[in-house]
Amino acid sequence: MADKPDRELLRRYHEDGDLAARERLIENHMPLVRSLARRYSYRGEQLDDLVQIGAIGLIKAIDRFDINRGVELTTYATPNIIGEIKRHFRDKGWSVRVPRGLQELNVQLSRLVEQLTVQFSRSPTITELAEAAGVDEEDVLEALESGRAYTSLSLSAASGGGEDEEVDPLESIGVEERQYEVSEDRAVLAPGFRVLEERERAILHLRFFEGLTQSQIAQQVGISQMHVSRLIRRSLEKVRDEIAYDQTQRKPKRAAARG
Amino acid sequence: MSDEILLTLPDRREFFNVAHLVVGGLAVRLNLTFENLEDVQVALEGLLPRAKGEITVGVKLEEGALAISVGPFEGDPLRAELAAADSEERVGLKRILDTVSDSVEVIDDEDGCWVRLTKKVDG
Repeated sequence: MADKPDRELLRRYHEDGDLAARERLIENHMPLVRSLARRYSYRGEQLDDLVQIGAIGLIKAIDRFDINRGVELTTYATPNIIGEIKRHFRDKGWSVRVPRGLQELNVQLSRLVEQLTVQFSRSPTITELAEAAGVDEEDVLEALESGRAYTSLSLSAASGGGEDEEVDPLESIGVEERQYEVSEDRAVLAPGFRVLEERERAILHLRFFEGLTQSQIAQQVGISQMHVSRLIRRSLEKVRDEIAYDQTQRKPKRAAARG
Repeated sequence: MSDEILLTLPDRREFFNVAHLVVGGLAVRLNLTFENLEDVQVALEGLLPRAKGEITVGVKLEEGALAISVGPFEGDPLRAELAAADSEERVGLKRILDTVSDSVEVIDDEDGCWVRLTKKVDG
């Protein structure tokens, strides 16, 4: 169901050319832009700059919105805003700045986690991983952390086509257009889950409702444990942002008071 | 004597990975498995962004378990979130923390409330 105030404002803008309604829509959805921009601000860009860039995506979404479709503006705008921010980084020749050594170690660790889990019939410790990789424990932690940074960066990137594809931990930018296409289908899902892809929902279900461990999920789904880990984190972050945004929409006074 | 590490971070995402590294460093000393460390990191990722200001993470080893305190949070919203029932279509904070840790407790303090988690260390 589309949000009623949004729908009315969109109708006024698109049917009556009411520019004040457009301004109001922009203003109402700036918390979403800020929330999304914050994800990328630690890459050396000023948050304010990213908010401005994200706002362009929001405005495009408002201008292109088809009021005859039963989709919420937020669902439609989110990939546009993220797309605009990513395009900015892409245009600047930005890439994930993780040292190559850590990139390679991350990929190596992904394999070692699988191997050692089978070998020991349990999850390996960080020390065991470090020994197997021939590096210090601190290097292992740092490489795992670089994978975590990747998770945040690639958040909302549509996953590739194959179910068994292994995402390169340093793969950079997703395809926002693809997500945009499927986003309308998600509008019928419960808040927080509508931003997730089918596989992400399935994995969250296995982990948090069926109680399977990451390695059990990896076996069942046929991807690596590190990949399961990344998908879980990415999905949870998406859900959290979605819910947080819903809450700011429901409590505008409170959100505004916090600035 | 209590061997506790206390880390206070600004409420900014770019600092959160410091908490992950510190907890990771301690996990090495405690011989935590990769999977258990992952669980602890997921719990931290669930809690840290909910801070409304400076946030402190305390980590210590306690009776064969890693005890982690995170706070302060605004009490009411956090309690409401932890009390909210999760449907099959929603993974809320309570379900996340219950899944990845062995115990979850909310403790009131004068500056807000704290979430205290324990995670058993594998033998």
